[in-house]
Formats: sequence, structure tokens, C-alpha cells
Amino acid sequence: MENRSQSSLSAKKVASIKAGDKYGKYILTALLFIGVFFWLFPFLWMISTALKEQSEVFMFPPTFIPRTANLNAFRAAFQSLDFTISFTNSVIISAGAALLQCIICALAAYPLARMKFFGREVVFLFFISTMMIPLNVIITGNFQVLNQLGWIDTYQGLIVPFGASGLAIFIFRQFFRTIPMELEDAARIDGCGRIRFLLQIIVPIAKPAFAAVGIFVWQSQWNQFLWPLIMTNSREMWVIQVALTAMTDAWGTNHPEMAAGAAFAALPPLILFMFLQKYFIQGIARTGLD
Amino acid sequence: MREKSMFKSMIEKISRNDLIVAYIFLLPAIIILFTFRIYPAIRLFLLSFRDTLLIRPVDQFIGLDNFVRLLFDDPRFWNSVGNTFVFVLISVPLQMGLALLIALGLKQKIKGLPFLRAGYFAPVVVSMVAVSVVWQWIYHPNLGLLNHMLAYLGVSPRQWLRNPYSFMTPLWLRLEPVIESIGLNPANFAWINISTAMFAVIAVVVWKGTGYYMVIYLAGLMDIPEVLYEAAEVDGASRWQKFKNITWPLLTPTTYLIIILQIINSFQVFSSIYVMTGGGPSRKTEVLVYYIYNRAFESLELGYASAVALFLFLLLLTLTAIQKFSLGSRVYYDR
Repeated sequence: MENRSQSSLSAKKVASIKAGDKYGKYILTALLFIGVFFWLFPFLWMISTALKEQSEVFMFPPTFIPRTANLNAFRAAFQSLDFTISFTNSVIISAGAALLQCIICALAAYPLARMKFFGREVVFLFFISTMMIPLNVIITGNFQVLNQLGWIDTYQGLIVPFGASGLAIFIFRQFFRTIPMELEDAARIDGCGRIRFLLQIIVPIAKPAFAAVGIFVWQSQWNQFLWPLIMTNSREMWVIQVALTAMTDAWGTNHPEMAAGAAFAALPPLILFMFLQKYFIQGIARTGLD
Repeated sequence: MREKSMFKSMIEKISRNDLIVAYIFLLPAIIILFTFRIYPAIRLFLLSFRDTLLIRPVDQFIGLDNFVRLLFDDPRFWNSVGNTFVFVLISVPLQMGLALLIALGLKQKIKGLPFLRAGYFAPVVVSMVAVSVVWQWIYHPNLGLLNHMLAYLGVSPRQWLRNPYSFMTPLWLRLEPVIESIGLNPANFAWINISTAMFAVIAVVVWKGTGYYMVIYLAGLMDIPEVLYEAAEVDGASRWQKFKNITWPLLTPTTYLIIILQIINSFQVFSSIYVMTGGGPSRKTEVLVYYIYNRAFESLELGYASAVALFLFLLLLTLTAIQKFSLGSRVYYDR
């Protein structure tokens, strides 16, 4: 009897907590949605400004939904020759670096994960230790290296240095290790070479790892600023981030065009993120690094 | 029997070639990482002992002169060190707190979670340059949205990115004579007088980066067993008690990881400063990487800039080494 009343009391308690939680949850949800609106507001403001006419920017009070929404600013930004070139450059460089890094790091990860050979641990430690060198800080040293190679103001100077990274090798190695060894032994006995095995069996299985590395490299190269700022001189070699800072000065107060330029720089990664969310978020949650 | 020995010799033949095959596979990555990570770091080290100018043919070994100048004769260096520490010490806890707060909210099984998570994460994937351009005109003194909004609340318009003073200024004015009276150079402590521009830049960086740490916190929160909360609920624990006694202690490894990652990232702040303030007003937002950039590629003093960079490099190397080698081994579920 006593026992039962006690249990019903605690059940009541839990129920009342749960009811309180329900209201709490509604308030919390509302707060988080209001929060995310403010959080995304700069992007909305960017798009809104890009759709306006220059005259509307000066209006008081400021309008959020453009009165005469049009794509003139986008067209003007894109017709500006520098902008077209730099947009193309960014596409080439970020895609090139992503592709190169996937190939070179998968190649390097394969023996580290699946072969026994002299010096394996030393090489692996070497790769891991390169992750501790911050690229932004050794930029003067890198400038001299690129200068010596004659790679200043060239595509290879913007792509090849990002053709390998300790993190990508590490991610591929972890993934390759999960593929059973017996599979490889069987294939080898049947006369399948290392390269064929890598291409025809490992690559299809490791698609998620390739996607994660490719997306991360692409995004970080698209967004990179300090390296291309220093390693390029001519307008023909500008990437979009560099062109954007230069155009901010050139355009002065033409806000719609500035906003359209910023949108061109910001939207590709945002769109990619919308479609491939899980690769972005899982990648960070797992490795804690970008 | 015969089959088995054939099998064995085949395997042996394959593994003899393994050494060569392995290194052929490894070679491209080794070459790239050596040429663009290890070798430049060595070059940086050597450069820091030289007087090397970028364009003019001046290039000579000067021993420790760069470091002597750095330590005793360069208030701009100490100013940038001070500004960098101010930046790190304000942005790190702000970002961490905000990331934890949002993660705690999103952890409750609420509707629209995927949308909310994506929304808070979105600024992370966009370039610092693009968001800085947008924020630059949100902060614009005449046309900026922020001053318009504040006008509705009756607040007079402000210079956000060009104001070298802030609420810290009165404190600084009192501190300055004290520092001078001890016999120290007040110019080396001017970073205490944090500028409004610095706060404005920090706000943007915090806004952009929070989503990244939020995702790491969310992963950490998901690892905490739900049973613990249920047990605490039955015992009548309040929300705060649950947070204090379950969530926070069990999150220590995550928090530790986040703090180290944040510190390493914040010490390298550059793009936001370059776009929004250019180190100004009157060098109040000049941080270390910006100073290195400025010395090397605007004053063209590659050697001296390398000495400044070496200082930052060693600082970051220590922090990264702590992260790589002690992470998880020391911080565990103790209170």
C-alpha cells in the first residue's frame, strides 16, 4: 500500500515535470527560431540589397523587401570582366585542389593502412606532424619557396601546395583500414594488382571518405584569402575573395553591386552545404577539425 | 601441399615488392608536404636571422638583431601582441558560451531541428571576406542597418569600425599615469584601451564561428547517456542542477577540445581585420598575422616579419602539441 502510493507520487512528479517541459519546449522552439532568423539576417540583407536599385539603398527607413526587385546588380557584377575571371579562377583552383588532394592523399593512405613496410610509422608521424604547422604563419617562408619555383602568379602556385594534407591522409587511412584484409588477399591471388585493387574496390567502398575530403578541401580553397592575396599579382590571377576586397574599394558606395559580388562569393558554398549538409556536419563532429 | 607452398612463395614475391610500391604511393604526398609545409617553416626560421628585403637586393645575416628589435624597440609588435590576446580572451569564451547555449537548446528534441542546426551552422561555410563585406555595411555609420535599428530605440548613431575608444577608455585614462609612475612605457599597454572597432570585429568573428563549435558540442551532448537525466528527474533535480552535475562535467573533454581549437584559430585571425578595419583605427585592431602581413608585404621587410612570425609559430606549435598529445589523456570525467 505504502509502496504503491510512493510510486504513484513519483509518477505524478515525473508527469508534472513532463507537462512543464512541454511549455518550456514551445518557448525554447520559438526562441531558437527567432534566434536563427537574426543569425541568418546578414545573408537575407545581402540578398535583399543585391536586388535593390542604388537609389533605394539610401532610403529612410530602410526597406527589407526591395520595391523594384531586379537582377541588375548581379548582371553588372558579372559583366565586370575582373569578376568573371576571378569567379572562373576560383572554380578552377578549388576544384583542382580538391581533386588533387583526393588522389594524392588516397594514394598515400593506402600503404599506410594496408601494407607492412619499413618506415611506415615514421612516415605516418611525419604526415601527422605537418598538421601542426599553421599555413598562415609560415607565409613568408612559403613566399620564398614559391618565388624560387617561379610559381608566383600561377595556377600551380595556388593548387599544388594544397595537393596534400595530413588530415586528409589520416581520414583516408582510418577509412581504408575498415575494409577487410581477406578481400584484398583474395583479389591479389587472382592476379589483381595494387593499383587496380585501389581503383576498382577501395575507391567505390570509400566514397563517403572521398566526398567528405573533397567537399572540405573545395570549400576551404574557395574561401581562402591570405594565400592568394600574397601569391598573385595580376588581375588575371585573382580569385573571387581577392577580387571582392579590391572591388569594395573600386565600387565605393554602389551597395547593390557590392552585395551581388558578396553573394557570388558566398552562395556556392552555401548551396553546396544545403545539399550535402551531413558531410559538413558529420565531418566536424567526428574529427573536430576542418 | 604443393599448392600451399606455391601460395606462400607468391605472397613472398608480392611483399618483396611492397617496399618499393609503398614508397611510390607515398612519394607525391611526401614531396608536397615537405616542400610547402616543412621546408617553408625552415626557411621562416632562417629568414628570422636575416635582414631580407622583398624587392631591393638586401639580404644579409644579422644574428639576433631582429629579435632584439622585436623585444626592445618595437611598440607596434607589443601592440599587436596585446590586441591579439584581447581578441582571443574575449572571443573564445563568448563563442564557447554561445555555442554551448545553442547546442543545449537544439539537444531538446524540438521540431525543425535539422533546419535550425543548418541555420546556425550556415555562416561557418561562407568565406570570412564575404561576410566581412556584408557586416562592413551593416556597421556603416550613415547607411548601416545597425544604426537605423538603434535609432528606433532612441540610440544615437555610432562609428562602429572607426572608433578607437570604448567604455574601456575611462579605465585606461586612470591606469595610464599609474603605469608611467612604475616606470613602464604606457605605449606598450595601450591595448588595455580596447576599441569599439575591436568589439565590432569580435562580434562578427563570434557570429561566424559559433556554429562550428556548436556542432562539436552537439556531438558531445549526444554521447551523454539519457539514463542519467531520467534518474536525476526522478530525484527531483532542477534544470540547473542537471546541467551543473551531469552535463557540464561530462562535457569537459569536449570543452577542452573546443577551447584549444578556438585558441589556435583565433590567434590566426586575419581576413576579418583586413576587410573591416585594415588594422585601424590608429592600429587598435592590428593583430599579429595582420602585422606580419603588413611588415612582409607592405613594408617589404621579409626578414623582420619572419621574426614576428616565428614568435607566433612557436606559440601556436606549443598549443597544437598540447592538443595533439595530451587531449583526452588528462581531462576526464572528474569534477
